Amino acid sequence: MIKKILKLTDNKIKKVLIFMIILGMFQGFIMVLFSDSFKSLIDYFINFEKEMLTRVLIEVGLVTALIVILEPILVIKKAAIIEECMQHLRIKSYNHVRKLPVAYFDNHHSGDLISRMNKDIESTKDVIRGVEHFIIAFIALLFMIPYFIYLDLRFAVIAIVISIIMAIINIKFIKPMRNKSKEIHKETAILAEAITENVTGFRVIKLFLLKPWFLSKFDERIDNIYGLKMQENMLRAKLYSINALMWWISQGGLAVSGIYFVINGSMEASVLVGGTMISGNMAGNFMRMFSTNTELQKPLAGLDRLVELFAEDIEPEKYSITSSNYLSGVYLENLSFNYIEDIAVLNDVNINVKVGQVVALVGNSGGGKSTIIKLLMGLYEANSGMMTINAKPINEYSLDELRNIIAYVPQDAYIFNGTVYENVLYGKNDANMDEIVEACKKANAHDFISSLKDGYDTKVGERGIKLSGGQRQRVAIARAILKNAPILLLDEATSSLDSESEQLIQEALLKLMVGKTSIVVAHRLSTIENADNIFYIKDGTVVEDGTHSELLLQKGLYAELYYKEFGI
Amino acid sequence: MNKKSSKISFIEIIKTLIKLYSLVRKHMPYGMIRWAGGIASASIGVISGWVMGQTLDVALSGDMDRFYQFLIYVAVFIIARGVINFINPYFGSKFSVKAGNHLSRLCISKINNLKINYYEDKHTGDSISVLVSDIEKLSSFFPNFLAGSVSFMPTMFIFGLVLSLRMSWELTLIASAIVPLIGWIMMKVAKPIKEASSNVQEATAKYNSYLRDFAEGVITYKSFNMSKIHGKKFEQSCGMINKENIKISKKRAFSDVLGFLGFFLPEIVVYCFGGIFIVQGKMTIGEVYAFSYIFGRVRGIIRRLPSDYSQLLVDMGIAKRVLEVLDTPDERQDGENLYDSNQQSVLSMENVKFNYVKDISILSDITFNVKKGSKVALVGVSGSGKTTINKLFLGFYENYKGSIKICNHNLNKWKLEDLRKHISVVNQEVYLFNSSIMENIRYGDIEASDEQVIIAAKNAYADEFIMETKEGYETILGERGMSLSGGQRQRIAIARAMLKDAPILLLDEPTSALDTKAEHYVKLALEKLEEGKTVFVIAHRLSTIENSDKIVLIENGKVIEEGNHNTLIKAGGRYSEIYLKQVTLQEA
Repeated sequence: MIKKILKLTDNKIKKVLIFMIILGMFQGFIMVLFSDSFKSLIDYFINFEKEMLTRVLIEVGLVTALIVILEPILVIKKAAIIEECMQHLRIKSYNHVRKLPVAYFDNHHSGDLISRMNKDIESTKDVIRGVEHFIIAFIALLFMIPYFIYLDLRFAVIAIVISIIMAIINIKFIKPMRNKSKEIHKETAILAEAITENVTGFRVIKLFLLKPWFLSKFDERIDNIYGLKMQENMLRAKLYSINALMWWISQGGLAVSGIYFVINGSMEASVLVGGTMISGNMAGNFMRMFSTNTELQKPLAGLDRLVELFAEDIEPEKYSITSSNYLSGVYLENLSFNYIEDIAVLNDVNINVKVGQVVALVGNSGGGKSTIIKLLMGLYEANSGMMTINAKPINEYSLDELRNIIAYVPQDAYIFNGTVYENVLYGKNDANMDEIVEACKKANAHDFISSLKDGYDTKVGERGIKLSGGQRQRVAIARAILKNAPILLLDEATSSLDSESEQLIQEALLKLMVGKTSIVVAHRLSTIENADNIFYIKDGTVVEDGTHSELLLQKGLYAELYYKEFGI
Repeated sequence: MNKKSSKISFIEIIKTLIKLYSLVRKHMPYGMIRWAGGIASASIGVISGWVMGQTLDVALSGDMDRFYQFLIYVAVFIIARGVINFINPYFGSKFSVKAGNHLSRLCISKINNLKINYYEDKHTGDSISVLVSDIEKLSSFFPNFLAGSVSFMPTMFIFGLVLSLRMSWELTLIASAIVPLIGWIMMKVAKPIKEASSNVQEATAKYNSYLRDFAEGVITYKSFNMSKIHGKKFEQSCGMINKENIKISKKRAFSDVLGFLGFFLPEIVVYCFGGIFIVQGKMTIGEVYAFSYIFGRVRGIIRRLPSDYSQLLVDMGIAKRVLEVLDTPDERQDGENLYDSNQQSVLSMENVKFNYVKDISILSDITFNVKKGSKVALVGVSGSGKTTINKLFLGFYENYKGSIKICNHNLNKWKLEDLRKHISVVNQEVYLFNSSIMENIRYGDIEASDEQVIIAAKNAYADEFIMETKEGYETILGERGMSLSGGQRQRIAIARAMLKDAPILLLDEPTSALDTKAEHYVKLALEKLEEGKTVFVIAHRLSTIENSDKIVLIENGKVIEEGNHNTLIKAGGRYSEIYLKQVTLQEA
């Protein structure tokens, strides 16, 4: 556990240890001073010795100084270090997560990630807090036990023995509680996911009157969580009750035996007072030490999930797909790929695009066109085959380099929460306002952006919800234009636009394509008739290729598709 | 979240508390048990102090009889403690879980009753964070408040104070003198903590929105190497959380010191004066000891007040947020089912005016109608408000001017649920849930059998591709499941609509995002779906709607042309202009 925390915080948390130890020493010292001042006070009341009173005064003064002046300084310092570590962990998680392969996001709900990066990071803090309680309690005991033995050995032995029995009982509860809390964690995450879905899918839910059905599904989930929580609850209640019993047995036992010792004269009454006091605090510290273990179970489950996240393989620096040719342009040879084993998505794809050419991929949906685009961007690694981009085999590019030379416009571009300006800026981080405006003009986006209330500073809302589909697309195109990469990938970039905007954007894209190597996935053939080469992709392979007129002459699938489109 | 909400008045707290607990009144019996447990626990705490004092006196007196009597006390205490420490956490958690669940249910149900614009206006992350984390926090607040603030604390305070007064009213008075001053100082400290913690919430909401953007836009993110800018913004949000948390801990440390002084100074006073009373023979050593213990616990209550109070403020802030969601007005629930299958005018708008935001008019004057069994197409450039018209027919927005009629009855007389029961919608974007294909289609009619679902899928030309997936109808879709192509999604949506089998069909450019082949199947599927229905279709590719019974062209929020394809072409107006442009574009 300690190892995990150290690793998660890159040893930054180490510094906090000193503060915890000092705080533990403080606590122990304060407790001893407290008990001793009490004992001395009783002694004074019984015998009225002057030096006892002086001792009381000195001890009380010391306690006050420690608690009022030194402790707050330490506590604040300690909290600052812990918060620093949390910030570090958040940023570290982000930097790990952003390097995870796209496949991870295909298999995990975004709600799951968000839950991990909130609750689980918070639970790291709880783990640290638990460790802190343990350390402080332990160090404090190192001061209290010797003092207790000095007061009365018999008394100390009774107290320690009972404390150890309590420890053993506590440890017995650890495992079942841990398992329960893991289950609860999991179920809660599923519920959170379902709620997210409920919010994002509200339209369907309203239109199909699905509310009662969804509510009953939620009810089931909630009931399920309820059952688990109640089981955990029962365990906890048992444990608390046993602990309380033991604590009171120890206190009662000490009082009873103490009185007995005093009555038969083998102990002074002041020792009984000082002893009960320190033993109360001591038992409290033992309790805290042992209950840390149980209290930690919940956050530890979160910590494990975080460790799991960090154990997820990140994208490699480079892919191992090589190539034997060093031609400029884009070359794919015998490329094969599958998302899930045994279901080939791409099978022996051969595509070559010379520098400056515009090449179109056409074919039925589900044929694998988009997958080719995604492979080119290095979002997945091909299983076999060769890939060359701009005179370098793909394994000679780092993924960052690869993505830097590619501009990509998908069918429904993701617009990030923020302003229009920020969304375009993602294309080129250091672009100035003029460049951004120019890119937007080229993308035919400038006019509508200017007509927005706050112009380029208009907030677009989550997923760009405040813009229309066509507007979102134009912002995405402006982003790609700004990037000015030598290779352009368009994945049905204009398909969700109406004819007028499409025409405008088609013009813009044509301008953009000049001097670039472009691969265009198209559904409307009219837009790609002038392409230098057209590849017809079917079931993951290229079945026809050639220019528009060549393909028409072939009278194959392309021709069929073409004539169908124009209703001939 | 506005800054003003950080100041919550006492009356507001009471109001919020009453509201909160009345929401979960069904589960109050558990709460009451926990409440009684708090009283019992406090009483035992006080009595045990008194017994400890006795211990000392017994020991000093050397009286063996009192020693045996004392043994019995101790045994009773131990058993009582064990029982109470079982009952308290058990019923506390039970209440917590039950109340939390109840609240979850209320919120979920609320979310499903909200008006459409709520989903569009507020960052959805807000409501999610409200639901999951806020309810979690509130659920532990439920028992904690009952067990502490209104049971343990007052009991301890009153019982302890009474016992202290009985032991020595002089000592009680002297020791109390210092308390109000310290209490007042601590109250002062508690207030700003609330503000800082609401700042943390705000920063966290931001942090989450960046995370969500990243997770959902990961392909765009990666293809643009966005880590630099996006990462910086993300780090800023982390920094904000950090800063506010440190602020909180500083304030906590400060109030802890004051709290300690509040505890310790009176203790010194007690022993100084207690000592004098011992010397004077007014009190025994045991009594002074018991007094210091009991009165110490009483002061402990006062010492806890500021932190409890600031926690209460934090919790009330959360409660207010949750209650705010619960208080958001529902979508209109009244009205009746006015469906009339014989009515000839199925959909109509008359001089409809509408805008989402003030001063930016989307629709300025829309009039048209759709006759039973006919197919009417709405065309116009994107952004001209076509989709809005569909939304208006569905009752998503009711703050329009003019009149909208369905089956010749004003929309506002309809019960929205009944209205939607009679309308099927196929949009450009299809939302798929994280569940099987079977279930996703079945959402069209939740009571449909598997066979009916498969028939619908076959009619929607979806069966074939569904059977090609590895697990067929059991294949999981949605964010975590298999991704389908646009055409496939569309066919799922059509299958859904087939199951629903509503007499009115609203189509919103369902084929515009598809390639030719996919469009082919979707078109066939749509044709089947349209059979015998009244169809209102929004289109931008005119070729798809040439054969409609009527075409309505809107521009700048107004209907500018209306008629069938041939008459509009003949008229040589805007429609024919656009049509020619599109045809030449496709043939170029």
